[in-house]
Order: sequence, then structure tokens, then C-alpha cells
Amino acid sequence: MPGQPEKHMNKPGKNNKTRTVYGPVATVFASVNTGSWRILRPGPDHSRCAGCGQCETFCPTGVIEIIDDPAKEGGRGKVVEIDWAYCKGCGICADVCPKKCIRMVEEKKGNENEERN
Amino acid sequence: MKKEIRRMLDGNGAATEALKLARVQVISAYPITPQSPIAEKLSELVVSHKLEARYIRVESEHTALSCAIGAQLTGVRAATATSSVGLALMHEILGVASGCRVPIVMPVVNRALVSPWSLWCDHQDAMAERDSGWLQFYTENVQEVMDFILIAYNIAEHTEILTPAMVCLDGFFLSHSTQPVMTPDQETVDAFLPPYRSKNLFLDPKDPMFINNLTSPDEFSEMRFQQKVAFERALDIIPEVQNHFAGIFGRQYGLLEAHECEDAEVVLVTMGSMAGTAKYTANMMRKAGHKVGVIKISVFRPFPVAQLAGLLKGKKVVGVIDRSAGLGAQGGPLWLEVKAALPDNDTRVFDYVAGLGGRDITEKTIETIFTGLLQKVNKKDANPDAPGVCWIDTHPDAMSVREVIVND
Repeated sequence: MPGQPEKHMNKPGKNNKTRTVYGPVATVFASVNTGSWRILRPGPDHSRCAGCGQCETFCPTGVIEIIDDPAKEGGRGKVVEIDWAYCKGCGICADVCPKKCIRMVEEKKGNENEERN
Repeated sequence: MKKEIRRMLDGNGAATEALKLARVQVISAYPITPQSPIAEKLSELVVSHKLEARYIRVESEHTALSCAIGAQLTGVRAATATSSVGLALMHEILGVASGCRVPIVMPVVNRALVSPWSLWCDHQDAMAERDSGWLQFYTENVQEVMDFILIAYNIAEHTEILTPAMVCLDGFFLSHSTQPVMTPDQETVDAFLPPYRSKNLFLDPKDPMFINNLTSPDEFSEMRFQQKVAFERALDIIPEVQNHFAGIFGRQYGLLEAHECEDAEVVLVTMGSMAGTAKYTANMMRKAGHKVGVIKISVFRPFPVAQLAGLLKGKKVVGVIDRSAGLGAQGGPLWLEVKAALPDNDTRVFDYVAGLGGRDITEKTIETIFTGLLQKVNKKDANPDAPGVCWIDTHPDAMSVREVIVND
């Protein structure tokens, strides 16, 4: 997911051709950074996270991934990774977490891409 | 060389066969009387692999059309069909299909809208959607159901049209009426209807588009205008496609059909299955010496204004049968179109509401209308210019059909 908008940002084709289409359509994805809507952000406590994947399953925007963390539990640990470009901060992940280790914390302007616990 | 088989099919069967011949690859339909056999027969065809398609079981008509739009945008023909309140539930999505220029062809089995609840035929369901940006075809018989669907695909998918189409068939009168139908073979239909490809907007992860995004006042009118241009072009392209169809299949259709109009003193404008009864009755009345004619409107959207005005030029008295009430309007929807197509003062146009909620439009009803119109020509009518709509087949005790016990 990360980097998806940039991938298709109005890149000209090989021959720099255009064509006319009818109806409402956009190919310049200028307003997709829905992460900017966040008021609260999920703050996972990675030390208590068991990597069960409930948050990944229930996330309505599909921005949560459970990834391996070699530094945890002798290399077999899992942690939650969130794509901050798209997470709207809805809080469903915090709600469904069986270990209650995701806490919704206040979003502060200027450090959108810095994860805090 | 075309190979046609004469088969006994009802309207739903012919619609199903036509969708199959168009090689639809995704079907999302929700059953509703009297359309249900279309949804059922399509599912049987998929299960038995007589039609290689995905069948999406949906929970409503709103979703049925939404899925069809999404599927068709990936580059396949997608099919759905509906009726009455099902069409009403599609209302929002009809505009998405037409505005995004997704050329879906949808059989609409005409049935009255609530209330009163009714399972039976009138045209109010489709008339309520006449400005939804869909082409609208109305069929007279089961052969037309088959042929108009095939023709509609060719028109809807035309690069200058790119507009979805409803092919309307009268509930029960056509949907459940078994008639002999010349059914073309797959090879001939394939030649008439090449494999589908998206010519405008499409869904492809390798070349992404965001379809149906928020559009500002700067561009909204322009996109509506694009649709208006398509409807104007359709008036030329529909006859071209119909002629192409006639060249292959031998059956000639038009935007409208004139029956015995040339020397007619009065002409009755009809639409749907009633047209057959009207033509039959006109023939009977001609044998009795009355010069009466019938026009059948096959294409209601776009409305064939010039063609109709040409046929009715010089006629003093014209009648219109509306199979929907047009409540609060000056007349029913068909009458409004006919009236607006004709110059003032030259022609008097009278509106007759008939056949609501499944009531038969009988030879007797048509004869009564013709007789009244002839009296208006001869000024034998007591009040020939009386304004208003005549509810020709409504019982005189309409205001007291239901009495209840007073519990006091």
C-alpha cells in the first residue's frame, strides 16, 4: 500500500498521447491522502501485541499489516504496521483488539508520519 | 448464412435467450414478479454451463445494478433485469450507469408501481425513469423482445452513444405469453454483435481510473451535455442499426411504426403490447368503412419527434393511449411528448389513460376511443374541445369502490 498514489500520479504514457473519454473520471489522484483526515491515531503497544491479526481483518480500509519483527521473541515475533497515508483513525482496530493493546491517541499536526506508542 | 429456429418462447424466455446470445459474462439479478423467470433461467444456464458467466446473488436491485456496472467496467457484458419497485430501487444507480456511460442492456418487465400494490402491467415503472439517461425501447410482441435486445446492445455500445438501454416488455401480456419466435443462431449473432470491449471508462488495476468522482459546477453541465449529444445521435444511429439488423435477420424495425396512417382521418398513438390490439381493431374498423390508423412508438427515449410529426402532418385529430396516470400533469407522459411534437392549432391531441394495474386494453376499449375520435372530427361530439384526460376504461363507480363498516 505505501506509495500507491505516487505510482500513478499523472505519469505520461510512453508516447505521451491522450484520448477523450465521456463521463466523470479522474486519473490524477490528488486527494487520496485520506490519512490527513485523522483526529485520533491508533497507537499499538508492540510489546504486548500477539500478532493475532484481528485488527488487520477488521480494518475497513485495509491499511493494517501484521509483519515479522526479527527483534521480538527471538525472531518469531509479529508487529502491527499501519499505512499512515490512508489510516483515517476510525478506531475499529482498537475496538476489536482482544488484548486491548491498541490505544487511540491524539493526532498532532506536523508529525503525521511518526509513530508513537 | 443465418440459421434461425422457430421456437415457442414467452417474453421472459426470449429476453433470457437474447442475453445468452449476447454472451453476457456476469449476471447480477434479483427476482421480482413478473421478471423472476429471467433471473431463474439465467441461473439455470450458468449452472448447466450453457452460458459461461459468473452469477452474483445479490440482496436487492440497488446492488444488482451496482454489480453489473462494476463488472461491465472491467470489459465484459453484464446482465440484469427488473420490474416495478425493483426498477424504482435502482433509481439512483440508473443515473450512475448512464452518467458513467456504461452501456448495459436491461430488460424491464413493465409492472405498476405502488400503491395500490399490484403485480400486473402498466408503464409507470419505466415512465418514472424516462429521464434517467437510459435509452428506452418498448416491445409489442415476444419476437420484438428478442430482436430489440440484440439491436439495443449494438446501439448502446456504439462509440457515439455509450448509453445504457432498457428494453421494456409488458408484464404478463408479454413476459408470460408464449409465442412463436425466430431464434437466431450464435454464429450470426456473433457477427452482428462482436465481443464487448470497454470503449470509454474502464476498471484496470494496471491503468487506474477513479470513475464517478465528485464533479464541480465547472464541468457538470458539460458531462450532461455529452449525454444529450448521445441521445441526439441515437435518432440517426438507431435506424442505421435497425437496417443493419434487417439486412442480416430480415426483420425491419423503426423508431416507430405506422399502420394504415396515410389516409386515416384519426390516428391513435400506442406503445407496447396494446399496439397489436390497436392494429387489429383498426383493421376491423376499416372493414366497416372507418378511416383509422395506428402509430406504435418503439423508441420512447430518444423520442422520435420529427418522424412522428411527419407521419401526423395534416391530421386533425390524434388520440394517445397512456398506460400510466401522469398524475397532476396536463396529460400522460406519452401524450406530453406527442402534443409537444405537433404544431399548435393544426392538430388536436386527446389523451386516454387505460390499462392501469393489469387491466386489459381490449378491442372494445380501442373501438370506443376510435369512435370518440371520429366524432370529434365530424364535430358530432357534444364538447369536442373539452380539455383534460379521459380515463377511458375506469369504472363509473370509481369513487366508491371500497366501503368499510363504521365501528362506532
